[in-house]
Amino acid sequence: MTLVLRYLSDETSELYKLRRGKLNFLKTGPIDGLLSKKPRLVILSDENFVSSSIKIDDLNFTPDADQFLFSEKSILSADDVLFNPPKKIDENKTWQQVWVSASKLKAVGVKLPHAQKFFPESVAVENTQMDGIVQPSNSTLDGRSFDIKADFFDLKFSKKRKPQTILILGMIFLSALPWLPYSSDFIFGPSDEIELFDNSIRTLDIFSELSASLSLPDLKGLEFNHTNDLIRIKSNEDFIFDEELRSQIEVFCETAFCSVEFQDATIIIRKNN
Amino acid sequence: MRALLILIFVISFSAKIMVLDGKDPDLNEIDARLLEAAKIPEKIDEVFQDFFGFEAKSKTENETIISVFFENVKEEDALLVLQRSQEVKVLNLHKASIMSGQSEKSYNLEIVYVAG
Repeated sequence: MTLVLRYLSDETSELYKLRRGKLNFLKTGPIDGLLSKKPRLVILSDENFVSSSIKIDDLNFTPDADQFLFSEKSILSADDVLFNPPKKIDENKTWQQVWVSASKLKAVGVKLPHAQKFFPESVAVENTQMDGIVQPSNSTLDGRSFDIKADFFDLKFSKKRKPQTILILGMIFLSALPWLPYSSDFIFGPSDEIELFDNSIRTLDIFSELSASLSLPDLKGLEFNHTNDLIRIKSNEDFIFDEELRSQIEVFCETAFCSVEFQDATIIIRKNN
Repeated sequence: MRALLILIFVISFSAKIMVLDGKDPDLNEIDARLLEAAKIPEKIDEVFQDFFGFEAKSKTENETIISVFFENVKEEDALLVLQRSQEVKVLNLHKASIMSGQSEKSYNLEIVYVAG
């Protein structure tokens, strides 16, 4: 069951039940006494907003939804105006627009913490004036149709900005999306990046320099271990490293930024990091 | 405003596509062939043989360690194989060994690569 509050003033407001698009009067009273029902929809009585119209022929353009046609007529400051889009009334060939004082609506909103939408009565409620006969000001809206899809004032004053804000934020998010971690795989498919390795062996250069500068023993094996950055030089087992050769290799390693280790018939040269 | 947002959106996506395209490595022939051979392991010997110019035998362990063997290669050719082994970029060169071969001045080589 949807409850609708008709706001006349703080002292007098009316509570309705909305059933099949019709308002069913429940009770009247000061606003504080009706809050326990937590109505989310509010009808602003005609005294609480301003409505004006202009002949279609007097406008030589079609107004945009975010255009306020009566800025000169309104006594409210531009910052305080909250208006609905101009509505074309075909019967009398006019553009009609309603607006409200934003500060006043905010003050009303503070008293109605659960209210979400504020409908201008003349826009949302059918025929407040019946056949030109002005209804008494104390008459209720009982039995009248209520158009829940009619334009309303947003308490947060963001009704018109909301879709645009969502659009802006959405576009910014979409623009940033491909650059977010892991998102490009979802958008463009797995990239199957190929990992490439730098296989240049520094120890090979060290060995070239060493073998060019020294007379190395008769080689049985030579191992360049790229992962461990070492050269293992195996000589024939009957070869004896004399002190002179050892010191020559050590001197070489000092200048070539490497360390040397002698193990029986094996010389291990490690690249210093 | 909307046009600007759409422009930013288009630029962002285009830039990302260009970045992704730019990441496609310009692989040399051996790397391209090795990638192909990864799907057909029987062809890997042929790929190494064509690349090094010598008869090659390979052995793959755990689908990650690939050892390539060359037998009785001359001294000068051994150094050439050693040099060329560094040109492979899609596999990580772990170890290159030269050992005395059956005849004098001939060597057996083992090149060990690690995949991934």
